[in-house]
Amino acid sequence: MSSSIGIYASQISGHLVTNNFSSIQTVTVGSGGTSSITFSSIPSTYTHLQIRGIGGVTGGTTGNTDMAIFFNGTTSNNSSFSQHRLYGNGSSASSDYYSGYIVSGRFSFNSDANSGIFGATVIDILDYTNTNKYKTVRTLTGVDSNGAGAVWLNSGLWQSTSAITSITLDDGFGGSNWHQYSTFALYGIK
Amino acid sequence: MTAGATYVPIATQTLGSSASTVTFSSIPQTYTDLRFVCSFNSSSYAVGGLQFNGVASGYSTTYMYSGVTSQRLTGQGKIPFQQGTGPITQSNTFQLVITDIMNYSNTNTYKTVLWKTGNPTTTDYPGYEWGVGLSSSTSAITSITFDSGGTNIFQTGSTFTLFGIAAA
Repeated sequence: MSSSIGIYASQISGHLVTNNFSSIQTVTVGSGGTSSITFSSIPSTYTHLQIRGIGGVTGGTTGNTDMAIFFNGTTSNNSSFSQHRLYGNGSSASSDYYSGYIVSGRFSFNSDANSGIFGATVIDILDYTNTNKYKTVRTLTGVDSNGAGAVWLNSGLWQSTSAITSITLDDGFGGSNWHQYSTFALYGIK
Repeated sequence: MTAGATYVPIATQTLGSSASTVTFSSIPQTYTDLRFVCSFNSSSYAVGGLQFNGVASGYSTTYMYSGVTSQRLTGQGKIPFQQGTGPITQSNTFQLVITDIMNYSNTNTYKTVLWKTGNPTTTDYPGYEWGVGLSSSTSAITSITFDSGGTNIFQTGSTFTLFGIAAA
């Protein structure tokens, strides 16, 4: 069975027809790469945020290409951040806990972004403007390089009641860069 | 892209009879990501998966599934779902698969896919499954085929919807 595009869904409701899923900002890494990506001056007019993107990380060493997520100008290990994650590497599965970081998962194995292989992530940041709550983050991240790979499901916590006004996506452990063509888009959800 | 057109249903198919594959072709290149949402019932056990642009090679996947186990598959001719958890064959019960196809029109990178699915019944390998897939091609994706893995596996009433997500 096949179909050409043009058979449009007509009974889909919610954010699809009421414009409640909106693009806020996109960052695409240019030639030479960059050590971190920041979304700043995030409007407070949404309920939740979602970041969708692909990334390649080069430099550093294997195992140091996990992405860390920081808020409001923090860009390094801070005890207000923590997370639990469940991950599989293609042969076994496990879980871990980090204090000081919200670490989504690895984006590259052996600098394979040089070969065109990029990891992907979808990050949900809930109730980001609520000043009565600590902030909770959920991520699904993975990279497969046809012989190596892993997938991560994460739950992160920022123990702050401050509204989130900026987000930094960093290599987390230092020594590596986002590769050219890495691109991350920030969306607001009402 | 006009304001408010960030998350758009591109096309949907509802099966009026059983089918072996479902294909969306002539996909517009005006979005950043694609989200493919499938709700389907299967006639028997098979391993379904995605192919792009009619190509049946160059795919691999790493996934996790219930029981906290992980596997990697290559050389399947598609990005396979349901390898860890089986398709739903119980009548009137539909399996949900949500697939994010990231930067599908980017000709500088291979294509990475994130997906999640589950079988909440008590038969046919129930459980939850999620993973990452790779298409080792820099070509822009212009068509998507969901191969059921067998003959007329997808049953009547199954629905398949393709969404476009546009970044600023």
